[in-house]
Amino acid sequence: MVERGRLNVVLAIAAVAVLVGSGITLAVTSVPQGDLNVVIVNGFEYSWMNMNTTFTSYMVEADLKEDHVIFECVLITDLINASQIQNPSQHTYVVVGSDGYEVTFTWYQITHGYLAITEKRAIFPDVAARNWVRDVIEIRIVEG
Amino acid sequence: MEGIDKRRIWAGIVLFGSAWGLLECVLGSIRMPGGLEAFPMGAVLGGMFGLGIMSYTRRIYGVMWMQLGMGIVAGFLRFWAPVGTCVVCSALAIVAESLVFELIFNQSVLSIRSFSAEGAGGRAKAAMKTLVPLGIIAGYVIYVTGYAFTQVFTPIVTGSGFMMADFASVVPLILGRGFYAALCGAVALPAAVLIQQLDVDVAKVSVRKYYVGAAAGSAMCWALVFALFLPRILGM
Repeated sequence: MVERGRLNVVLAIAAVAVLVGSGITLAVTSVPQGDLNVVIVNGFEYSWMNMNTTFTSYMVEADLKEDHVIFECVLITDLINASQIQNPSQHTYVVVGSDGYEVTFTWYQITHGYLAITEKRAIFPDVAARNWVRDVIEIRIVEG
Repeated sequence: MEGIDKRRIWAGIVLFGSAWGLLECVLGSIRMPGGLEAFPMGAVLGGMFGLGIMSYTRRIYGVMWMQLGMGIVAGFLRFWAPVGTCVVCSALAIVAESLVFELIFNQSVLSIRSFSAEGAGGRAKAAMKTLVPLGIIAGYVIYVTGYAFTQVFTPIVTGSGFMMADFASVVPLILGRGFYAALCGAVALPAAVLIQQLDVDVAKVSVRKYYVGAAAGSAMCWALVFALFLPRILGM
């Protein structure tokens, strides 16, 4: 049987480690890891502010939690096609959020993906909303 | 637990599992306002409500593995609220959270009943010294497990394919957001175990009151979920 005093000490140390460790991790992941005003694709920078003038925008309906939301979007493929990527359909793509969250998408999924301009979010109506990426800062190409 | 009829325990599993499932469905579906959009509601659900309900039922029933049963009931109810694309994953994550609770609190040295008795015997301060850090650790581990579980199983179940690199990128987020669950656990566990006003001797509640109350409470939780989410269930 573990003595109570010793148990309390062990638990206290573990709890402090959890709070400090998770607190530091939370702080680090809360710092944006790139410029929130632009999306970088293959070295090309696209400003969120000019997104709907640079590319054709569409109104896209998608479910976000319990809400049915209409987003003003541009096609992700429009950004990719404008970025001088050779054989775009031969690659996979990693959509990167400012918090470090990354999701890898196939070309097929990318062709069904949008960037919601106001929300700065990559949305994929056919993919679990959990895999949508908030505050997109980069679309990285993975060599096929 | 000696002294409590097994049928009462089953009724308790259904009642409290349903209440937990209702909270998961309703609070889990809330979209936070702009600015707070990144706040992880799951941390409050797991660290505060999940841990709180499981700890409270362990206190009043004192039955090991009952909370896993509650997790299964809550997961099954969550299954009927089609919020998010992978409902099965969310349901299974709740079950995983209850399994983690069992693994922690089935250790005799961490018996919730003995802490509760300590509090009732005027030694609440001594119990708090153990329960607060234990709540921090339990809240954190329960949330992190549930979150990681969904991140692994959602891409598998939805067919988009599990990518280790994607999972690796989300691990720091999971570990960081667990901070909120740890704070919630520090409050939820001592509250569920020590607040004397919440004490109920389950074995002494009259048969009629107990079963009518359990049946009505469970039915209300299920009815509410179906009423709130029926349009989604029917695809309307």
